[in-house]
Amino acid sequence: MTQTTVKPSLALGTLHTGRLPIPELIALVVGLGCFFAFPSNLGFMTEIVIMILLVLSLDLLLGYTGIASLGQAAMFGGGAYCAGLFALHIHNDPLLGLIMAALFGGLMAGVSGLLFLRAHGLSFIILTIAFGSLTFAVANQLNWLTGGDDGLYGYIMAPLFGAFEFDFFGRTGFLYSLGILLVVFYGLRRLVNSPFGLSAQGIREDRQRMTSLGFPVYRVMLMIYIIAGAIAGIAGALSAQTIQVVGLQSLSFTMSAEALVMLILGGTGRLYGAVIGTVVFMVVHHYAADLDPSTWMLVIGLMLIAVVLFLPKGMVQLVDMTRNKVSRLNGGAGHDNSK
Amino acid sequence: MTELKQMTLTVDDLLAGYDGTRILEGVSFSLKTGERLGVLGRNGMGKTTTLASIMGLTEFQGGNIAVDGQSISAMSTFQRARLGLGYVPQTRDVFPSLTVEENLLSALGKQPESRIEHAYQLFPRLKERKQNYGNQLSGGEQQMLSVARALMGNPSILILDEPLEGLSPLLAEQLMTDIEHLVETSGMGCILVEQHVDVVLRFATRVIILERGKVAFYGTPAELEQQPKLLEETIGLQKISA
Repeated sequence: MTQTTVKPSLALGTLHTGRLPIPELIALVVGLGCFFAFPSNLGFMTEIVIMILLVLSLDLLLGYTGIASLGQAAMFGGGAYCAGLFALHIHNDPLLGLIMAALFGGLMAGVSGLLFLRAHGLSFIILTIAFGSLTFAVANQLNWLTGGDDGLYGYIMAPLFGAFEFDFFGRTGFLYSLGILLVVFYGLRRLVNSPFGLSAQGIREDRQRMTSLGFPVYRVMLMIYIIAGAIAGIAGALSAQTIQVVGLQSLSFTMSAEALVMLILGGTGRLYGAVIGTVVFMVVHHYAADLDPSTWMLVIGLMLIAVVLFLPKGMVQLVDMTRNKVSRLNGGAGHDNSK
Repeated sequence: MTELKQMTLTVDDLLAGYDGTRILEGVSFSLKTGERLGVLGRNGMGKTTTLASIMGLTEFQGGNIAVDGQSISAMSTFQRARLGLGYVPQTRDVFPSLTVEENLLSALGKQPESRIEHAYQLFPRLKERKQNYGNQLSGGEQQMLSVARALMGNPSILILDEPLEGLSPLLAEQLMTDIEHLVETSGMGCILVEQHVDVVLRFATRVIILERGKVAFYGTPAELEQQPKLLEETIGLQKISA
């Protein structure tokens, strides 16, 4: 009976909304566990961490504000090129580069959002695809600046905090990326549960209602778009700094589309859905491609069909179902965490 | 509790509708904080359109809407809300995937969080259900939440569109008592559209009856009760129940 179902006050519910950084501590433990357990896969795990950041930025847009974008790679690639160029021409400190990339990603989102957010639904999606294609074409044309097809390379990052070199095995890169992910995740968790974040969720639910409640919907959406752009820029910067090459594919439509697939796979509007979806997608992709490079897309496709048919809220639904089962076994009423 | 801003809302010869079609044909009235205006009329006579027009949710076609003498006809909906107009639509529009508390927080903006506690004092049932999602509430609870959410912005004039629709008589009575208590204690102005004529006459200090987008009556409940023929013609009501 629905009357008895309440927002979970224990476990994941409190972890998700609370001010204590418990989810981040769990992620830290898991991340460090992986660091020691799979020392030869640090490069791949760094890629996952970076992709999680990009998918989180998309979750803030789609899952929390209802803005469906297929051009988030523009901000990711913009951040990557910004960090690369900053390291090459101005300063190679990673944190300075990261800040510059965040600002650049936010600026790109701000400028494009000013124009695009006037449109809704399909029109907006098409505009974001067009923006992604435009940035890709511009980066390709500005060969003298970006390296074009060959990519941007030739910069060496300074040691992190002046002490930790970016080593060949990717240890510093992984821990640096993991640290940034935890900080961003904590910030996002606080943001989405703040009155501002909840007003964004109100916009997702009903724009007109929020307007009637006195909220400048366009302005709130623009601010969210800028924050998401900054996070995508940070992800791009991490990619540029840890791999020390920036390729055109960082701006590609495929990157945007894959990020959206990862988010749908994991579940929107939950933050940790973005984490689960990215990890599952990338691990399955990695091992399926290893087994047979020609059929990995078939595996991903089948997995997506299964998730959409049987877990319409994404893989986080499995977490909810497990928790409900445990709760029932313990004699509790169960939870309907249908957000 | 945050201090209430005094204001006067004036609707003057308002022409409004949707997509070129005119619904309101020169509606006029005014309301100050502390006053209660009841809007009556048969279905389709322009009651909801009048409220939606005050909030800027229809196509403005002429006339004037002003707050304290300053026209707000060209203002956007959110600006009107920020001036102090709190709107609770007929459809309630509670956010189903947010909890009661999150629904309230989503409308808080820059207001202090103490407003949420104030809303819980007005509607204690909401406090009991604060961790429940919007889609887990009964019709009456959803209506309470919709009103409470509109109060988050500290409105000077509360605009209620058929708040009792779909509620059982017992729930409707309870909600109306809560609303009367709220309006009396806060001193805010209130515009109430309601099908239950007896409720409107008990609640309002002034009443308008809309007939095909025009004002057929504008006066006090006592004056209206003296005109049974008008009541019958405009609302189809032969006798007002006690």
